[in-house]
Amino acid sequence: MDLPAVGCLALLWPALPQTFADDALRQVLSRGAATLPAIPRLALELRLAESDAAVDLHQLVTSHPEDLEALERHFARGGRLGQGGETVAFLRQWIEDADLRREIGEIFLEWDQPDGNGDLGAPAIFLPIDRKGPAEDDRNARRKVVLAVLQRLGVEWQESDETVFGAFGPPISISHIGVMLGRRSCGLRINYRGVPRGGLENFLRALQWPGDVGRAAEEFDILVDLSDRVTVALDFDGRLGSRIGFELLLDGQPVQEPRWRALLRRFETMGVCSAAKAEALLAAPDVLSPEQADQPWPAAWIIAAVRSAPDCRPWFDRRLSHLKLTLADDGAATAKAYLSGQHHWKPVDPNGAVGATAEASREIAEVVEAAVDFLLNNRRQNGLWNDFRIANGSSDDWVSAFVACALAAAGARGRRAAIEAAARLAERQRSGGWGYNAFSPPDADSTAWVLKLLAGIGDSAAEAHPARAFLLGHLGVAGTFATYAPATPLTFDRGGSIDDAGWRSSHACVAANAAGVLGQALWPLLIGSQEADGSWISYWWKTDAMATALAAEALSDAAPDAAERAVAWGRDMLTVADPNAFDLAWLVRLLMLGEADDRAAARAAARRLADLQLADGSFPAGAQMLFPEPAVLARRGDAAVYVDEFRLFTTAAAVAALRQVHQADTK
Amino acid sequence: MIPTPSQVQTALDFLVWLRSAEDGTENLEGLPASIDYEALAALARRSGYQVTAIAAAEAFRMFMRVRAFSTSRGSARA
Repeated sequence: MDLPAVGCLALLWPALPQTFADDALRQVLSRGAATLPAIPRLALELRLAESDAAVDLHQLVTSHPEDLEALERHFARGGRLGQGGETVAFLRQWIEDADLRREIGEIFLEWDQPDGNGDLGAPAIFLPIDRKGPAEDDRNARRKVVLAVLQRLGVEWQESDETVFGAFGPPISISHIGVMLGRRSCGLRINYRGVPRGGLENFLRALQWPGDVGRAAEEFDILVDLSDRVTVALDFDGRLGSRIGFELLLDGQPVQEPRWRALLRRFETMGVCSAAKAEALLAAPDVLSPEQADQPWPAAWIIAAVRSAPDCRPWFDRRLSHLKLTLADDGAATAKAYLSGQHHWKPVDPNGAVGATAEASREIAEVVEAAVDFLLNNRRQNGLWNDFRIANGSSDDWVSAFVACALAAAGARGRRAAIEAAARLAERQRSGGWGYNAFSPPDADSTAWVLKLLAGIGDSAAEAHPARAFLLGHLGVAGTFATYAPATPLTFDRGGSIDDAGWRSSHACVAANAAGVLGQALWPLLIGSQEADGSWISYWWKTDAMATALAAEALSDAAPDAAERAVAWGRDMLTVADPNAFDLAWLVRLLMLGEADDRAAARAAARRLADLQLADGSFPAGAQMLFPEPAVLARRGDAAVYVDEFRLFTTAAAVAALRQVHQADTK
Repeated sequence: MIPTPSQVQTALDFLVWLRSAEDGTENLEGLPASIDYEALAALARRSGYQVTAIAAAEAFRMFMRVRAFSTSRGSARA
């Protein structure tokens, strides 16, 4: 049963005020969309300037069987793709050719705004080129296939064109190439991914780009800090054009990712985005379903919903896909947003499929190397890492300090990345400390991890002294140790006066971490707060293995009895509980503090941990961070739990634990 | 305006019929892509079910809710 693509527009329009598209334009776009294949996956390319109301239309076609069947039905009925005769021919071949589909798994079709009758012109076709991080020979083979397709679409190549494909190396690669069939000159758009912060200038010079390199590089670095990924888009028509575009992508939606607002505010400041459009975009993302009370379901999708298999539940995802800032030949900036709408049949599994488990029984050193690769491959362009997603966005400063701490002791490559991360973090120090991210106030835990990182790379940086003073500011007169110092302002979206006594109270998990930096100042607190069973109770974590391991490490010389009780607790946890990868990593570290039998148990646990490694080198997410109400003084079962969904925190914990075991074995 | 229980029941009967109607049954395609329950009601009437737009909307919401509920219960048991 067909799901007409134009149904997506019925669910996108209610999120957009008329300033983006008035009723007449909506009708024109709907008429155009009604002629497209029944693949309910559309996006609107929206101009953000106050007076600019042009809207382009995009459709994503994938190699999923439903898409292929929809395309076949569309062509069998004589359906077209606007004026895209070449596009139809190519897609017909793509449907038939499984080898081609293996190389080109998805195709973006992008039409300029249709004419007044709703007639679409020829679409631009965007094809994926380099996979993220493939081997060089794989990359060359794929490029040959795609370049052959581009030639069939009428693009001519010369030897000299190689500059745009070869004048760079990892981590930079080409994510997509677009053939602009709808434009007067049938040029190319080349999208480069992975350009590091501070690296655009050299990259553009290597490409002999004719535009204003300094201006572009300056803007790029600012945008990289506000995004998860920035793609650089250049025009090529026998030679590079001097226009440059930056596509800005964030993993979360605005409700949980404050950087969308920060990016749009920057656009507003630049005069390329109206405040009203920015606010509408931030409020637009939503998940809709036909069983909702207001039931916003297109009539044409109802029969498919009623007749679907029982385990298929239709829902619609309205997302802010990405933003784009373009600097034109004359330096003028323009901004766009891409709002996508996609029909789905099943709910997304929030835990996701994280891939197959890696081959078991490999050497620990090999496991660590693969985990380090994963961490290095998942750095952002600014050299930092992001993980966890709470109401205040994902964490970069705190997570990066933790990950870099693990990498600092994990070989030359890891150490290099740790040094780079430390340099980036140094630029982000505030009031002497660091926080969860740039939108959060500095706290003791994040600051302690950065200080551990600086110590780990042997850096007595200028940042360390004020950071240590900042950390000491969290010691209370009664020997307590808080996450947030009395002088640190905490503000909440809810407004008004919020009771934040819980967040400012003494937290054993943070004290355990900071004790590795402040030493004996925190020993009495740790000794006094140890539970009868030998553990320390976390305030910010659902489980106690991390706090207990850190506290025991801090006390192993000063209070060996306390450390011994902690090790005994760890032994029990290994036998009575079934710890996940994160807790297992900390239990390994804890048992390594014990006697020979304990260290043997630690090695066995390390083996268990190694066998949990996934095919991409990561470990299954297991770090369960709590986000309690600010007034709550002690851990409660009803606190919201956030897992490290990108698996960086757990993988870093595993690297640190496994490296410790490996190092002890090779001594 | 709130549909009467019997109007909603008729609309539900139509949806149950629709679920198992043979492919190719007349008029199963051609509903508009807009959010338009009058079109669904018209389809029901052409198929012999006297249904208003508001009853069609309520019945569809109930139908999908029941399915969502039974699917999640099934998942929980699994």
